[in-house]
Amino acid sequence: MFKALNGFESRIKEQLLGLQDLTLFSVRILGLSVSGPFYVHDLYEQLHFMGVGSLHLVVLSTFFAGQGMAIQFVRELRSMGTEMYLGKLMVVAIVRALGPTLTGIVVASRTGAGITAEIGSMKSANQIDALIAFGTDPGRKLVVPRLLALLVMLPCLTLIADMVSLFGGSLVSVYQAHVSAISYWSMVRAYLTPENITVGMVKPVAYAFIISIVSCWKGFTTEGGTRGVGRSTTETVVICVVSILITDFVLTRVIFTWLGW
Amino acid sequence: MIEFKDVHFQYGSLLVLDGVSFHVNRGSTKVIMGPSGTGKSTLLKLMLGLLKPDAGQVIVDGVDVGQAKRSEMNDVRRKIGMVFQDGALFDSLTVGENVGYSFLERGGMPIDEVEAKVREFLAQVGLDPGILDQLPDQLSIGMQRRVAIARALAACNPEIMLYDEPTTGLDPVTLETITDIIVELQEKMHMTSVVVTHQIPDALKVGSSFLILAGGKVVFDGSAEALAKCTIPMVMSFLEPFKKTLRASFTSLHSELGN
Ligand SMILES: Nc1ncnc2c1ncn2[C@@H]1O[C@H](COP(=O)(O)OP(=O)(O)OP(=O)(O)O)[C@@H](O)[C@H]1O
Ligand SMILES: [Mg+2]
Repeated sequence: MFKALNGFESRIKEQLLGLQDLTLFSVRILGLSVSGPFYVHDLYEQLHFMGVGSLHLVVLSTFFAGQGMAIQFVRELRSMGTEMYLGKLMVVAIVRALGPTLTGIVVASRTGAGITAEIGSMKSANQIDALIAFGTDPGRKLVVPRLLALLVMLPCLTLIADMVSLFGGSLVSVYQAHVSAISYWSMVRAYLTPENITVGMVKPVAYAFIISIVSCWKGFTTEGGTRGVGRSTTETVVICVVSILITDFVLTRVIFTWLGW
Repeated sequence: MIEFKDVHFQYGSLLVLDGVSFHVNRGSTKVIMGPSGTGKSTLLKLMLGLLKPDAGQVIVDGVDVGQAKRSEMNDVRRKIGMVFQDGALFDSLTVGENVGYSFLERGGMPIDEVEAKVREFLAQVGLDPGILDQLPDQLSIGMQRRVAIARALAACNPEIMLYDEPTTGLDPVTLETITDIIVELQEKMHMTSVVVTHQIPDALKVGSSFLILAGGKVVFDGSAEALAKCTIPMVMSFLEPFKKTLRASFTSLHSELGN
């Protein structure tokens, strides 16, 4: 009984220490990312990897997610004879909520997992030690380019995701709700207000921080060879997805209060 | 140049170094031997400040590595070339980029000049400069090891070279080349070196003093002559398989000196 309790206590302690390390790590990285020198070449490579590499996944998943959502809406709207409001509902559902979060989750599972696997393998092959031995700061060389690239690319991908989902919605609008594309898009335009766009674009910035910091940190703390790399990669995806969903809720609350909605 | 003062180190609850003291004089070569898993690699990582001692001091070129600030530590690291046990080549970079890493990292050198330097260093370790654009994965282990040595040599004229088992798993010819490189660097450039190795014959060739580590403690520290005469059971059992070579190379060394 005591033994079990002891184990529990030490687990909690371990988690807290981990959280403290993660916090210190984030603070250090933030410091590095606002002051040079920068590894421009690495930044460029990451921009390419994250943007171009994730584009097809984001487009594919949001195209179908948008249509799926639209089909649900059309059924409910039709029962009240208000199909022409599909555009409005789509903006609320996609631009404010689903677009950023879905994109965040897709990028977390592709890019986040990739980052942890890469840095974790470098760690277990002593390459991180080799970097340090050459006087390179791994934070500057590996983390900052990934953070900055994601801060640029995640909002861009989210915009594209929004567009693609809304386009998917327009197909449903025309073929299922029999509302013309023109009236669908004019409804969409009317509701693409600065407020709605702000709500949608603050989230990817926060998600970019979460994904890059968590995945790099998990990479650096990888222990135990290839199996360890597998374990940290899985943990990265789990932590990122859960944190994204929680952040989504918290941010929505905060922004709504701030906008007085 | 390098000094360990009663260094203790443990990974979690595993005690690896239990009060280790020794020093490496400027321009000399210290060979570190000992059974697998006794903390030889750990010792080198402590010298580079990649690990910090739990107690005691590690002093490299007058700087206490355990207490040094990041910038101070980087200055120290700039004087050190390290060959990691598994090479630790950057596998996302080509061979050329690996060897030229320290030039590219410091910047300011035109790219064709870097390439010329890289060719020079590759030739120095007996590698065909044609492999410049290959990735480390495409090379054999022995070639990777040599690339790792070239990369360490290229590190801004190191004053100290640390080799972690540089000759393990190599063919006799390559092994000889690498031993020769180590000796040459020491003679020509008066480099201070620390070599971890299990290959007693090479050890004798490169080393000016020898240290045997076992059970977290230094069990022997002294010259080759003292090593050959050593009667400590632990040392004797470790050297047993090599006793013949040890004696043979002594006789030849003595006859050479005699002539
Ligand atoms: N990162 C680590 N975490 C936990 N334990 C470690 C770690 N690295 C090494 N050890 C343990 O520390 C001890 C010393 O390791 P070290 O690599 O220094 O040995 P070594 O003398 O270099 O061995 P070898 O001759 O096989 O290279 C070993 O028992 C090893 O299991
Ligand atoms: Mg070792």
